[in-house]
Amino acid sequence: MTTPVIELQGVSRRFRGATVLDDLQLEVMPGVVGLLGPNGAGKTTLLRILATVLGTDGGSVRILGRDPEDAAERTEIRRRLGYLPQELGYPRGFTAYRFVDYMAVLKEIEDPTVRRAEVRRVLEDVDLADRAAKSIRTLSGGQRRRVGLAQALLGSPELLVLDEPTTGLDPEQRVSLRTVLAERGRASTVIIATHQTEDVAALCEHVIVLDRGSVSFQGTVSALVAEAQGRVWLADAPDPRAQVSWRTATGRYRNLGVPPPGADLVEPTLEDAYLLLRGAAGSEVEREAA
Amino acid sequence: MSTARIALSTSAARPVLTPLVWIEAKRFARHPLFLAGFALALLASGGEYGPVELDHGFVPAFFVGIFGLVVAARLTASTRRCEAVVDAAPVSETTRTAALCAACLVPVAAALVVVVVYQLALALHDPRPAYVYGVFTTGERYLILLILPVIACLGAPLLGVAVGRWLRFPGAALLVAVALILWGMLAGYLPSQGMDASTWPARTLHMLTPYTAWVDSNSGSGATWVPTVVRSLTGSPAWFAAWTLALCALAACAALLHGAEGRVRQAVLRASWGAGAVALTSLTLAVVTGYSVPHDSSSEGTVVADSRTPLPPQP
Repeated sequence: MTTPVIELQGVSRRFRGATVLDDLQLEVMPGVVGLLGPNGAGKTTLLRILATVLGTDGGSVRILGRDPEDAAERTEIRRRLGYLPQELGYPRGFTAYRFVDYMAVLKEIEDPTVRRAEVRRVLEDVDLADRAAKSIRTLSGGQRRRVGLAQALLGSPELLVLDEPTTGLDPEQRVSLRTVLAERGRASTVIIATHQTEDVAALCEHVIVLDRGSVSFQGTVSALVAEAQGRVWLADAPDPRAQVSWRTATGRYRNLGVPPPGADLVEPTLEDAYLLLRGAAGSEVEREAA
Repeated sequence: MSTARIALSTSAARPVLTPLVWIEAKRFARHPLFLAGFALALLASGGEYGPVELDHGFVPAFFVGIFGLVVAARLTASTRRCEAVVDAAPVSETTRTAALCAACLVPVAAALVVVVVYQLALALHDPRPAYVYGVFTTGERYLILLILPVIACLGAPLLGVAVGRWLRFPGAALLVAVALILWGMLAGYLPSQGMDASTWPARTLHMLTPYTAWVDSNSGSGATWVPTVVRSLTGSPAWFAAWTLALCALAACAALLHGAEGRVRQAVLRASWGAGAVALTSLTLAVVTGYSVPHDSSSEGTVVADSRTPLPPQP
């Protein structure tokens, strides 16, 4: 039986009196895992805990079989971890190469020859090799994001924790990144928090949906999509009884939930399944669409 | 794409310290503010702006030391922008701080260059009469001219690292720099000009500073100007050097304490207590073993001076 890479039991975390994570139970197996959830669901807090930069207020956490509360074990986890936070700033005056090289030193890649080769490799992985000598200040938002990704990929970590990695990337870069992450997912565990369900559908075997600090779904992507089977309809008009409905590019309305009169049943996507799972929160989408 | 896992160090942080020190030292040496301070120090050390010999140490102490404080604080604080990824790396904050502290040897080297260049320039072009060195022995002259300014250029940047670690509000480094300058001016000159310099409070105040004046002279300027009277101030330069070195150690400990955990924290705390004890002992000895009254020196000889009597103007 495969050992979980991450085990969380009864984890809670509060910020300024507000509960962000509430009695969270979670087991993550090796592979590429998508983390979905609305804003404020606790995704970033969860990823910061997994990246060992934030403690918990209660419960137990084990990452790669180690306890991050123990200083020595935390260091061992960090040796096997790559982390891209949601927002990443850069020190002034650094080029892309120098920043990634600095991070490589902090990741204990001591040998200068090995370090140089590794820095070049990760910059190539994120298509930044030709921009390596540029000051980070002169790079575009998407390129800066890729510098952040490059540092996370250093040392081929066993656990890669990425908070919205595709933000600011153009479609080609997103596809390129998916290729890199899918490759990494063969040998490592990759956790991706995102609002892009298509990224999760394209990349992940497993998905976790967080809602108000708790897990509302955990399983395979196909299992989540299967839950929407028989509940997605294309109709000529929006149905007021639908959980969510919106006008598509063809002019027809995609209705989630009960079948509208004369509607055609269609294959659900991960986005459909996610919106149906969110249930009540989905009605906000409906209002916005209206 | 290769997915081969890179062999990471399993042997703590010591081997990583060397490349980190190089990175931080290069960042320090390339910082525009440091380069500007270094250039100004060299500029202010020669020509018609050259000060009285034993006062020259103020030049590197200010332009390299105080500027270095601001540079060190900025370099330290710069990684706050990416602290989420830096904190998630296996190298601890203590190791990163230690690298920044070691990078403070860059301003030390710059200060050495400034004081050596100044001495060489004087020796070649402008030999001064012996009385301008006051009552200080040859060893004390070297301490005042060469060592104390260099220690100041170590201590101020180390304080900058501590400021960068502990004070997170904008302008913190500038505020500390201004406070340090005011403290140095007050303690350096007030006892010789506004108080009876031979009293215990004045002698203590004169030493209770990270950088102090050792001489005062009658005023004048110009390339050929040589003071006619030089007043040697109170205190022991040797013990003052020990006191300021202990202050350097305290500044480094304060910086290292931020983010330190477990045994490392205990070790830093123990080192802080040790440095504190050395600082207190050295300060006491600097006050009680040094010159207890000011002396006026001129071509006519040396006399015990009443510090409240103004020095005669340049004839």
